[in-house]
Amino acid sequence: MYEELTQIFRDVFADPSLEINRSTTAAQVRGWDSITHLKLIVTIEEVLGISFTGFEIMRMQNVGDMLDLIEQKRRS
Amino acid sequence: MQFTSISYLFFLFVLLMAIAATARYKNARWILMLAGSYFFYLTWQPVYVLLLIFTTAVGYFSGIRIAAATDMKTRRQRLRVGVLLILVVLFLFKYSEVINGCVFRLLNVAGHPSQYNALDILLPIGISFYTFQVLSYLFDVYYMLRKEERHFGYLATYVASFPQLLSGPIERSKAYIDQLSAAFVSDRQRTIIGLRRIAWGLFKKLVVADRIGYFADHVFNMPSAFHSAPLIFATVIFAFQLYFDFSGYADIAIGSARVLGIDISENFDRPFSSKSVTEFWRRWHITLGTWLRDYVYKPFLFGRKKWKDQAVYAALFLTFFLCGLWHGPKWTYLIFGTMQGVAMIMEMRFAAQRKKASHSNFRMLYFSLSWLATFLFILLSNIFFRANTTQDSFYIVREIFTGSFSITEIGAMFSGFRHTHVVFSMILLVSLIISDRFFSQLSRGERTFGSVTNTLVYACMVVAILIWGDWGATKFLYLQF
Repeated sequence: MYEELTQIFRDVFADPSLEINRSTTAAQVRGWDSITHLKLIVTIEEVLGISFTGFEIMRMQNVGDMLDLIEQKRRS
Repeated sequence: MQFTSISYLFFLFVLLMAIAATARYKNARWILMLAGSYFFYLTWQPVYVLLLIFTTAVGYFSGIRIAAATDMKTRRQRLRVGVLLILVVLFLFKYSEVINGCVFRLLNVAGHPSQYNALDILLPIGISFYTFQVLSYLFDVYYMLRKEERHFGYLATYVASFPQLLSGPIERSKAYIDQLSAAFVSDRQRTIIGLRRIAWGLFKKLVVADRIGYFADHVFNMPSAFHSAPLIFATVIFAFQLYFDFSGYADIAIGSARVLGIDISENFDRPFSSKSVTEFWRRWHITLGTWLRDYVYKPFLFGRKKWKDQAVYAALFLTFFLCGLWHGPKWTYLIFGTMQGVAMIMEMRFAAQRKKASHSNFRMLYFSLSWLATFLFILLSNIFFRANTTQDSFYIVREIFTGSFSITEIGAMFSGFRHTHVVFSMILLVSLIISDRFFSQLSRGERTFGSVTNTLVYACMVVAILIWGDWGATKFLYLQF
């Protein structure tokens, strides 16, 4: 899952060398503003075939939150 | 009790001494902060303390009820009830003039205008700021970004905390309460940095903002008496008056909180260096910008992600329309807010072209022109922010763009002022614009001289405040919101 998410991040940020980990936040990645975040969410939804609610997106504080939510959605 | 008064400095000193003397008692700090904050508010508008208590109580009980909800529907409903109660109070007091006008017109239509005695309601000072703090607490509990606060005293102190009570910065509850609930440790260095920050804020407000404010007021209170050149000059002067006034307030607030061992958020970061309106709002009134971003813009945007780009445009427009509305019941504020929203939509619409230009061979030219366009746009929108009426604002804009421009007419805006006062004020203004970055870093402790030079610089600043400062004569501009 982690590799898949890293690839999505690299595609959205157009940066093939981008590295992320569970504690990565928007403040640590150049260009990660609300609009890129929206693109990121929409891409994750399309690629992984899941859907997030507005409430869930608002709760994501770092990549770890994102990963946990994706895992949870894929299990259910 | 104004920040710019000797009595405030005395009050701060007494509070610091009391907190330091009782540091070994766990509950002493918040009790003293709460008592001090309510005393501070009582010196302004005693009756409206009831409103402060009401808003705090609504926040406290709503927070507990939201957290106790077992399903999302109930959670959302309880949030709505809490937010609505707080917003109704804010609206009733902030828009009392509009409500009075509507009732009068309705009675007029019905043929009974004389039966209506308009309610003369004063705006409760600080209401726009402390209600936004309570709302941020409720939203954070709703989104589970923090636990509900069970300690009423902590929450009440956060809402009423006197440094940011009247004009911000709009602080977040978690960061504030975490510090408040920790033990107070005396720190000489922290106290000195806090006091320096207060001195810097007083200098900006009393020696510069108030001084140049007379010229801006002279023109904006009677714009039809002036032509293009003085109107342009007054607009530029007002932009810096507002900046030094409001950022001076923030410096005193941040410095006061730091003296008492609490770090609160920065509210300004060299806004006039911005190269886009979007960047400007990340540097100007930062805590209002982040509040609107986190609790209006993002929920709206992420709740409508299927709209794609249209969601971004709609969210931007809504956010800054509300920003205008928040400032008060005047069409000029709505125009001001709408202008910001439209400008940001345009920046977003042409983001790809802008990115391309910023990587081209002409990027220095592009950056320079972007800075100039942003600055001119801010000046233009500030006309609507400052003008007393909508008619005045349209007159000023029309005259600036279509009136005859003569540089010699600038003198008209200084008529009635002493020649030395004008020259001295302008020298001060230019010096402060040039040295703002340096002194901001110095007052934040990010840069330092040797200890002797430091002492000398701040001694000069204090002497300047004592000699040229107009103590307590003019209120801070943002107290009207």
